[in-house]
Amino acid sequence: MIHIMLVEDDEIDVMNVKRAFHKNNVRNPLQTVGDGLEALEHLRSLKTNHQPVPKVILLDLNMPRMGGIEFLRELRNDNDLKDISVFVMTTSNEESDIIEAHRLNVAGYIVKPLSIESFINAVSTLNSYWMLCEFPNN
Amino acid sequence: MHRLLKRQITRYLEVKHLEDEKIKNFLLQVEVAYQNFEQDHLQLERTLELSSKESFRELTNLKNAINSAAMVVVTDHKGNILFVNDNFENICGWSKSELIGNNHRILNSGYHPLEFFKTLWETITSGKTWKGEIKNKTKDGNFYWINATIVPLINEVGIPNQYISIQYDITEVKNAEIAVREYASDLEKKNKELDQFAYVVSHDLKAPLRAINNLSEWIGEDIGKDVSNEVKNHFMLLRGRVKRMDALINGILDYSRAGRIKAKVESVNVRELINEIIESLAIPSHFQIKIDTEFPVLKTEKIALEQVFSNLISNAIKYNNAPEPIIELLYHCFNDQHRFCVRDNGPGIDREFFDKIFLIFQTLQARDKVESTGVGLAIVKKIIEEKGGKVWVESEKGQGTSFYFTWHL
Repeated sequence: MIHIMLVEDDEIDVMNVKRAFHKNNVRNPLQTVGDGLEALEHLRSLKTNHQPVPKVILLDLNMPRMGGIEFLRELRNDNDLKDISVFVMTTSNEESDIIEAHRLNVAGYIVKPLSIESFINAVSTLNSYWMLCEFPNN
Repeated sequence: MHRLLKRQITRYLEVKHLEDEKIKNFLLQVEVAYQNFEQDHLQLERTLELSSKESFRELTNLKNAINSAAMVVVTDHKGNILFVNDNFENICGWSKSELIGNNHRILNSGYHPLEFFKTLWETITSGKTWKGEIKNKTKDGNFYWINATIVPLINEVGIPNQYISIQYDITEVKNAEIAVREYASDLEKKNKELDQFAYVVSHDLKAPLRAINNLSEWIGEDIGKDVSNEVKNHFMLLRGRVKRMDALINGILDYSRAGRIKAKVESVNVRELINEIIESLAIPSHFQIKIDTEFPVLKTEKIALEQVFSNLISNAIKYNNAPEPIIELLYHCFNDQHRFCVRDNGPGIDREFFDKIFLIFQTLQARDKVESTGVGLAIVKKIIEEKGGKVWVESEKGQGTSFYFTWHL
């Protein structure tokens, strides 16, 4: 089962994702980090310690220290990490953010809905998507 | 005939010739011709004298007029000052004795690039008149703006050897112009900042709101089903208010965005645009929609016009409680100005609210009765006015409402 990493600074949003995973019976291992810098450090240390690197990242955009777009730019420039699938999950529906994220090859851009029900549905769709897809073994 | 000539003729001509009728006749005619000539000559002299006096007076008048209206300076071919009038002296602050013999350069403010004076000199040295605005410096170091016309005076071999410059003080106009420009750019900056502020704040407000929403739902789930109806009702109200606040924040975002985004200009068939909007709005089947046959094709920002129509039409539907609701879309063109109208036969609006309805977050009914953010018409007004158009409403209580707007390209 593929590993998933959640990059999100808001504690309640982290709980929200965890609850939605639970409700949808998503049992993939989920690692959580608080911002872009922490995410990069974590990924690089996994790589050097030959531990499984997440195949999918769920990424918030507005975060302290290093935001989502900046993180994506770093990720795509890193030869070891650039093939990871990234789904942006954010409150921002700014056109400029959407364009920039897609330029950086995101697998999807999701605007977080207000209602929990819609969010659970969104996570369910994501789950079916990555269940369906084949990822390289490393 | 001149008397000397007469004496010579009588002295040298023989008597028999003098007695000759033919010669007598000839001499008489010469006499007449001479007198005529004499008269003409006198006349001419008198005219010449008069006209030179006249032109001198005209010249003086002209000179006085120019002196009282403008600053005048004459320089040699190198720009050394030969003459200045009183106005020139008064405005630049230097006295005539200080100016004459000095180069005009002492008035240079340093404001204009070298290239500016290069072009000026190239123009006048080639014998052409130069016109333009120059910023100069007074003796005290203050600046003044002039509108100058520099005319080269050409010498007999066709080369300009003097320049006469007639100048008007335009400092006040220029300063006002600069002030207006600064004010406008300042205002534009402030507006952008305000939009940016609204955008950032809205995003920051959304995060905690989502958290409140999530927490309330989880608490609801976790305390289970054995709660009183009152608690259930309170949870429902809580979530309703959260949704409303979310809608309000989205409203601020949409409003701030309405000014920030510049959409591309394309050819828009307004009739087709209206059809698209009507289709997308899912209008209840008992509504009757009447659309004018004449609608233009405009070169404009499609998204902006779409937002205006879609807000006005959806309002006309939302508030229309007539048993047979009718919505009319009208178009009128006069003096190249495009005027549109969205008319309904709904409840109408009191005259006293005609201005208020266009303000952001203003609603005429409690939000509990009709869920509305009060942003739609504010966005409509912002979009239309940003393009230089106008929007207004005509309505009678119980007689329906007409929203008019002019659309500028």
